[in-house]
Order: sequence, then C-alpha cells, then structure tokens
Amino acid sequence: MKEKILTILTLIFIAMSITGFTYAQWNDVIVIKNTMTFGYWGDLNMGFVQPLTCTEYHTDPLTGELKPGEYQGKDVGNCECQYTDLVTDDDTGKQGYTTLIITINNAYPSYEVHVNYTLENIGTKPLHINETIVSDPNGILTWNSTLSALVAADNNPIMYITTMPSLVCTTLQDATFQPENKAEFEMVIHITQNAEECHTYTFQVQIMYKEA
Amino acid sequence: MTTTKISALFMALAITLSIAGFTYAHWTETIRINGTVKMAHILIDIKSEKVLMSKYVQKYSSVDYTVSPDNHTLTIYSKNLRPCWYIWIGLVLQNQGTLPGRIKPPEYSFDPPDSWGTYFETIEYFYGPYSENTGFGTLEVWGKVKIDEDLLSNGTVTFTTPSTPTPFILDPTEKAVIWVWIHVRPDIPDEAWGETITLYLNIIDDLAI
Repeated sequence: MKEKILTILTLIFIAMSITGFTYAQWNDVIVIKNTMTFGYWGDLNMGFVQPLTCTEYHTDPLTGELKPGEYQGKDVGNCECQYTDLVTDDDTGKQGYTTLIITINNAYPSYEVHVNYTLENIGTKPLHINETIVSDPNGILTWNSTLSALVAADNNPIMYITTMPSLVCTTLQDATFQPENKAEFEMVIHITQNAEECHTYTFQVQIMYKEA
Repeated sequence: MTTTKISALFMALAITLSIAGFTYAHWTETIRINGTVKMAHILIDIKSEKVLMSKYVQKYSSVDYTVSPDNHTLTIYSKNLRPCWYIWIGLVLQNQGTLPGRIKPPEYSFDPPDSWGTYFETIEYFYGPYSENTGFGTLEVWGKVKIDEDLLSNGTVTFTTPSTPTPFILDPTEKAVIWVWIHVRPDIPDEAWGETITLYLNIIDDLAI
C-alpha cells in the first residue's frame, strides 16, 4: 500500500516537472516568485518610544557633584537626539522606532551628555535583551568593555559610554519585556581629555533581543 | 522498505531545516543607537600687530618682524642690542575657534640661545575682550597709540582704559589687545653688546572650560 502511494506521489512530481519544463520551453522565460513568512504568530517587535531627552551635565570641580548644564552656565556644546525608522506591529497596531540618532556638536574634553530613552515591547511576545554591541561604524575607535569606552589605537579612551540600568539582563521587569511594557534607560556619553580637536567621532550601539 | 527509509530521511531533513530557519529568524532582531560627536577647536590668532621703537633707540638699532603663517608666532629681528634697549609690541588677538579661550601672557624664546632670555625683562598689558565689530581704529589702546606718549620707556602706559587682569576669557569671535614692553637689562655682559637677536613671541591656546 505504501509503495503505491509513493508511486502516485512520484508520478505527480514527474508530471508537474514535465508540465513546467514544457511551459518553460514555450515561453523561453519562467519567473518563480516565492514569499515565505515565518513567525505568523506575531513579529518580535521592540521599539524606541517617547519620552526621549538629552541633557548636558558637568562635574563641579569644587564639590565633585554632577550638575545639569555646562560649567558656569556656558553654552558651548550642544546635543540633539531623535528617533527614526518608524515601524508598526501588524498584530497590535502599536508603533515604535528602530533607530535612535544622537548628534553632539562642538564637544570638548569633559563634555557629558545624558540621553534618556524609552523602550517598549510593541509586539505580542515577551522579549529579552540578550546582547549589546558598541562599535565605531568608521572603524577608527574600538570598544573596550573593561573601560566601558571607545578607545583610540593607543588604547586611550576617547569617550565613555555607559547605560543605566544595564540593557542586557536588565533588572527592570525581571529582565523581561512583557507585551506593552516600557522601560526607561539613561545613556551617559562622556568625552575624555584624549579626544582631539576638529575630529568627528561616531559610535553605534546595537541592542539585540529575542523572545523571552 | 528502502524507499520508506529514504522518504523518512527527507522528511526529517525538511523539518530540521524549517526549525533551524525559524529559530534563526527569531535570534537576530536588533534596534540601534547611532551617535556622532563633532569636536570643537580652539584657535586664538594674531589678527594685527605693531612693533614700535622709540626715536632714541632707532639711533643705534633697528627692528623687523614677521607673523608666522599659522598666525600664532610673532618673530622680531633686532640689531645692535645695548643695555636699556626697548621696544613695545602690540597685538590684536581674536578667538577664531569654537570654544572659549583663556588669554594668558605669551611665551618668549630667543635665538641665539634661550639663556639670553635672562638679559630681557617684559611687562604685559591686556585690554578687552572686545566684540568682533569693535572699531579698533578709534580704540584708545590701539588706533593712534604713540610710543613715549602712551607707551613709556620705563614700561608703564598712560591709557585711561584700565587693563584687564589675566587670565581672562575670550569667547569665540571676540578680540583682545596686548601691549608688551621688552627691555634689555642694564647689566648685560659685554659680549651681548652689539649682538643681533631674534625674539619669538608665541600665543598660547588655552581652553577656558
């Protein structure tokens, strides 16, 4: 009985192959298009959402205290941050951004910016941030995880980058983003004395996440 | 029987590949933070210069000067040094950078040897800061300054404008005036008499934040 079924299936395959071959011979060209959609249970979607702020800070040289604004109320450097690449989750209809752009202009040694951003699970599955990768897209600086800094070729730190609380295995919500849950993070970018005048430095933080 | 085994093998392979693909698709969701940091720069330049020598000193000495291409150094050449020889050097400095700069006394160096620096004494007077569009032609401390009237042989000045204590801050585009009295000590050794000297006056860029 099994042999008969297999024989029938084989015959069907052969017949379809011949049909396709014949069709191809008639028309010279065949185009096969195929779309395979995995994860029809719902996409994994984590996105940046409002609020988003970036604030300058300085360390008071007399007290060592961290204070908002630049030293002595100066207005020298400036920082802008914005979200881009808006996505909408097909299942929930919720929206979030997949990219956060931070632009710091006229920076100088000791200049410090705190970027407060919010992550939300806009999909339907619980999520978990499993890895972050900090890098320089231009390949000039390399990440030193011990120093928590992007360092120059001589291993001197150019800018310290830290995130509070930690993104990976965050203590927020038991390390898991349930659907619709949000969490706020603060990224601190501190320019060191090793940063050179007139230079433009770049950095990228990739936040990888998966289903919890 | 063999056909059944092969079929089962194909089915197992197909299921394994499907699971692998599905799992991989769920491994690599990523969001990104992209940052750009543009660094500022500090640049205090010599915008204008005056080197004044009194008629008395001109009787036995002469002076020439150049500004370096980077506008950071004034080089002065002078012949026939003698005790009590003096000149007045005036500079208009401008902060052409994007950071506030700290105005400090310039650095001096000498050729022949730097040890000759001990034969000289200097006094500096600073004025400013002035906004970029200040009319320097009519400014008391710059426009019509005369040696031996406004700038005296003993290193004092007669301006009514008070000098600015150093260090002071020069914000981007702002200007400042410096007058420097350079004087040869009365007790220089005999071998220094009549010598030709090159004096370098360097402006110091110093971050004021």
